[in-house]
Parts: sequence; structure tokens; C-alpha cells
Amino acid sequence: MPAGLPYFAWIDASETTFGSEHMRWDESVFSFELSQEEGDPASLTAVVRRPRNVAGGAIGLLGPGRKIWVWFALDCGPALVKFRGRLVGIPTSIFEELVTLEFVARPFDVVAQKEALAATLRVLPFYDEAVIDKARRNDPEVVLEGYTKVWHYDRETHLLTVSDEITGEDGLVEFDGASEGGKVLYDGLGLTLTSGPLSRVDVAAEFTWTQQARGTVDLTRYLTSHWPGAGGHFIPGLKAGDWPKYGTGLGDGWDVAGSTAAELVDFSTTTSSASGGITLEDTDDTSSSIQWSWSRTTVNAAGVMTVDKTIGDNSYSAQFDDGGGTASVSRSYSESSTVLGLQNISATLVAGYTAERQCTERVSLTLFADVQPILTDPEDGEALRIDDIRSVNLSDPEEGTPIGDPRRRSYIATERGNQSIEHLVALARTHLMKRARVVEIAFAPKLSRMPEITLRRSAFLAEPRVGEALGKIIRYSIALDGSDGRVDCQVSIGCTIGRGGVAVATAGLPSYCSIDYVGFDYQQFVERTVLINAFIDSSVGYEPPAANPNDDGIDFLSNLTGQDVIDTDLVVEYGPEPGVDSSGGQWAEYDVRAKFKLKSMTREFSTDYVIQVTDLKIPPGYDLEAV
Amino acid sequence: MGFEVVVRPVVFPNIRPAPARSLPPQDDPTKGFAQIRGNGATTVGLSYSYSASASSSQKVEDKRRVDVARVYQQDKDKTVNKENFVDIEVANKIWMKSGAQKEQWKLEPVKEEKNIEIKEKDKIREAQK
Repeated sequence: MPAGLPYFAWIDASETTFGSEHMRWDESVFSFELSQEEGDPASLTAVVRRPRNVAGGAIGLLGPGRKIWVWFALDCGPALVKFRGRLVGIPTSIFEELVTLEFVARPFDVVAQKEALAATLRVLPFYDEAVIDKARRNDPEVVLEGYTKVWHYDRETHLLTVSDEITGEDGLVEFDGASEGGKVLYDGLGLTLTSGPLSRVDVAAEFTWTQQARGTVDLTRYLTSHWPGAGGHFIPGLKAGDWPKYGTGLGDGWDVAGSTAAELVDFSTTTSSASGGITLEDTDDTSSSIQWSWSRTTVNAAGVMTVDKTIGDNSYSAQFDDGGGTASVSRSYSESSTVLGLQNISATLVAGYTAERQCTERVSLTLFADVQPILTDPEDGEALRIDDIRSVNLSDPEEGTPIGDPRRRSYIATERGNQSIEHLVALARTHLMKRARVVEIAFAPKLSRMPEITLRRSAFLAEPRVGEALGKIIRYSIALDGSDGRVDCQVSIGCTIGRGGVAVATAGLPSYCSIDYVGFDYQQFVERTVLINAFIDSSVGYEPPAANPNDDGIDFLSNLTGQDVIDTDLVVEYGPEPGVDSSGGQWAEYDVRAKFKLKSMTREFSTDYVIQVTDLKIPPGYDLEAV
Repeated sequence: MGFEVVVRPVVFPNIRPAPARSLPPQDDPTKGFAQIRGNGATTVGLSYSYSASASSSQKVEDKRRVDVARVYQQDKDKTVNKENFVDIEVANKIWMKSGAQKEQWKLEPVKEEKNIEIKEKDKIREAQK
């Protein structure tokens, strides 16, 4: 068949494969235009002679039972340009002799295909679920935010894919300007600058999590070593009952998880007593007797002082009975006293904590595009600011706990956190790459080359008027005007105006210790640049930040000591507190007031990180400076 | 200085999670202290007492029974001078008591001798009160 001949076959929806049986003329095509733009399904506008039945009556194109699917093909010589689509809308000019039909190659299951495809694209760093609201995660359109890709609808198979906006994944179509097929028509060539490129993208993001931890810290050593006069072994001046009991609050998020207190000074008393007597009986049956007794109560503690003494009895008596031959004397004495001593205790105190601390890491980066200037002053241009990025609660189990361990002090310095940084870079890169496709060149290839044209390919054009250009095919059309029989082919490519090159990774300097000692993963570096592996073009690198949390220094991943959790050191005061009724009563001078402050378990912290990134290397699709 | 224009993308509004609650002011340094209060003063009551007594008792005479004897002067040559004598009472029995207890002491009665003459026998004498 001659090149330029169109075929038009009404088909059932099930006829998804083009065969020779479809090379027929169910309608008389007067003219048509087959076109497709980046991100949209292909469309076909066909002007056909109004269908009539055998009797010459008009046939309703939208009548029930009529087929609405069509295989359209255009013989381009070496191959066919094929299109499978379905009739959409009401045909225009339906009362004229020529009827315009609109077809679109949009899959009927586009929603299902998009969702299925989107599911495969939800991968880091292009898509970071941690910064997407849960309610929007099922939206397939959100997936492409970090990709330099758009949806692509195959005009024959209706298979939905994504296609890169910078480099076509299905290869290159070359128009070298020299070979017969590589030449383009003189007419139809055009070059436009769509807009100025973005000079940079400023990204600011907040990553938040609730630092959660539960545990205990033994404060015993801290308290005994800091308590005045304790000597490191005991707590002076307190009774066991004074010591904090289990469950007593110790500050924000703190309570007593365990405590013991044993009084060291024995204030028990011992009562001793003795009594005796002697009776002397003389040979003349006379007798004399002496009786005595005493009782003493003593305290077992040493170092007490007597503060009160009362003599209860101190008496003498003597009786003589001359007539009866008897005589007696007696002496009695009693006293009571009060002694005062200070109790010391041997105590332990284990503090329990329940941390619920809101942590925020504010990450910012600026990605500059390494592009050719198209304005007078290279600094003139447009900067994009993306500052609305916020994360979910990174320690929320319902979100998968992106931070891994909720006890962590830093998210952004973790491997997962680095992926979030890479996602931010991906967002910035996407905007810069897309906006770097400033030059749009339209040209008219020969019909024979049109079967090669798809929106998943790039095209190279060498043409004396524009020089050389390499860009992604963003639009094409084939049109037949029935009035003159001409077939017009148009292809447009979008060319980036980068300078090319690749970002270079640098090993950096280990700042922790030797790499051999701890391994590369655990090491911390300065001036280290890593490339984001997901970007196969090595277009950008960044310096992974070292964790430098602006918090109170508590590392819940370590074994905490008292010194680690003390916010304000122990202060011990003695004597009555001014203006407060003393618990010590008349012995108020021995009141003890100790206080210390543990680091809050409910505080909130915020740390700023400025991420260093390399300039974004952008392919040199077109050299503006050479024009 | 260039004529830079800063724009914000309006691509996917409302896809971000709700903002975290705003950060509160810094930790109040006057709050959140752990306090341990007490008083180790301990008082103890002590006592001391003693007593001593001494008593003595001896038997006292209640009454006695005496013989009255006259003792004359007797010289070395055994001559008795009847002009010179003394009368003495010699107890031959004494009643002693100590409280309710009573006892009797029996003594050897005085015997007449050349110079001793019994004048009265068994005369009862009550003890002086």
C-alpha cells in the first residue's frame, strides 16, 4: 500500500492487537490528526464521510449497538503508525456530509493502572511516605512529586507507564541532518524558550517525632557523692521515713522506681537494773540489813547530747525506835532526761523516667541548577521555595516508626533520615530539571520516521539553522488534510540547557576515628559528598549530616547515670525555711531541704540542619551560547 | 544583586501532614525540682533511779528477876567486915523481847558466901521504858 494511506476499522473493545484484518476502511477518512502530548493520552480527530446505510439513510454514530472502538493506522512506508482509541463525546457536524469524530487512546482501566503503577513507584528517595499525609498516600498523582517523570499512555496497547521528562527511556531517534531519513523539512522548524530556568530551589522541611523512652537511672551514687557531709556512703541528717518512697514524683516525667532507706544510728534504749542487800545477824540474835537497787536506761547511739533533765525524787529518811530496838535509814533518787541525736540513713534511690519529648529537626537545603544563563544577569531568575514539608510523627508505630528507635536523638542523621534528605533533594531536582527544559524545538520529520516517534524517546536533531539539539520528545502529531492530501508531521522536543557533567563523590575526612576501627557505616565524616544512587545520572550529591542535636544531651540508647540526667545539681539547705512551717518543730534547726532537678522528660527540642549539596548537573540538551 | 523572583509551587496542596504543635517556651528553670525534706533529729527519753535502805534491830530487856545480895568487905586475910557492904541485885532470869518475839535468859543465881548474904530472892524488876 502507498505511504500516507490511512486505515480505519471499527472494532470491539477486546480487539487489542492490531492485525491485517484491521487494515480496512470502515469509514471514508477525509482528513485526520493524530497527536499526543506529554502526559496525555493520544487523540485522533478524524473527519469522515457521514456513514449511511444501504438505502442511503444516515446512520447514527452513537446508536445503541454501534462499535465505539477503532483501530486507526497510517501507512508511513516502512511501518504503520497505529492508534487504538474509543469514540468520545458527540461527533460534531453530524448533519453535514463530513463528520468529525474524536477518539482518545485512554485506557478504560486508567485508574486501576495508575494505582498499580503508583504502588511500584512509592520508593525512596523519590517518594517519602514520612512527609505525605496519610489521607493522600493512595493518591497516585502524589507519587510523581519526586520524579522527573510524567504518565505515558501507549497509544496502541493503552499500557500506562511513566516516562522521564529529560531522557527518554526507549532510546534515541536521530535526525542527523545528513542521511536521507535524518533530514527534516525546512518548514515547520521552530525554537521557543518556554520560560527562564529556575536558578535554585530552597527546601525547608520539618521532621518531628516524639522521643519516647522508659527506663531507670540509679541516682544513689550521685546523691551520696554530692550530699554535703555524706562521705559517699550515707545521707546525714535524715530519717528513713524522710526518704522518697516508690512512686513519688521527682520532676517532669520522673518518679521513684525504687528506693531503700535504712537508719544507721541505733536510737534504741537499754535498761539495766540491779538490786541487792546484806543482812548481818549477830550471835545475840540482833541483826542489821542493807538493801539497795538501781535502774538505768541508756541509749545505744553515741554522740547524743542531753537537752533536758528532770530530777523526780531525791529524798532521805531515818527512823529510830529505841523501845522496839529498831533503826532504819533510806535514800532514793530518780531522774529522767532527754537526749538528742541526728539520724543518718543508708539509702538508695532509683529514678524511673517516661520520656515523651517532642523533637523537631528543621532541615534546609538549597540546590542550585548548573544551567546556562538566558538572561542578562545570571543572578536574575526565579527561585523556588518549598517550605511546607512536614513529616508525620516519625516515632508513631502506625506510621511504621520511620525513625526506627523512638529513643533516638536525631532522625536526619540515620540511614532513613538520609533517605529523607535525598527525597528533599529529589524534590528540588525535579523542579530544577523540569524547569531547565527551557528550549522547545519543533520540527517536521519525514513521514517515514514517524513510526519511530513515541513520547518515551528522546530525539537528536542536527539542523543547520538550530545546530544540534538533544531533547525529550514532548509532542508529536500527524495530520492529513483531505483538501490537499498533504500529510504534516510535527515533532517537538524539550531540551535542557544544562552544562552537563556529573557530581563527584568525595570520601571526606573521618571525624570519629579511623575507618578501619569502626567501619564505614558507623564513621562520621566532614566534607564528605555522597551521590544519590537513585539518580543514575550522578547529577547531584550531598553531605550527610552528622547528628548534632540541640537537646539536653540525654542519650536514651546508652546506660544513663545520675550525672547524665542531672539538670541542676543537688543543693542541700539546713534550718527552717523562711515563711514555711517547719516539720521539725522545736528542732527546726535540723530541718534538711535537698533539691535537685532532673532533665525534663517532656521538653521539646528543635535542631536546625543546613544540608550542603552540590550544584545540580543538568544535561546539555541545547547550547544557547552557541546560537 | 539580581532581580530574583522567589515563587512557591502550587502543585500538591494539602498533601503534607498536619504541623506538629508549636514549640513551647524553654524549660522553666524554677520548676520541676525533686525535693527531699526531712529532719533527722531524734529525741530519746532516759531514766535513772536508785534507792538504798539500812535497818538494824536488837533484843531489849523486858523485865528481869533478881536476887538482892549484900556483899561485905573481905580483906585479904579473909576477914569479913560487916560494917562495910553494898547491896547488889543479881539477875537470875531476864525476859528479852524483840518485837513480838520473846525469850528468857536463865542465869546462875548468886550463892551465899562468907561475905555474901542473900537479902531478897526472885524480885521482879520491869525494864525502864
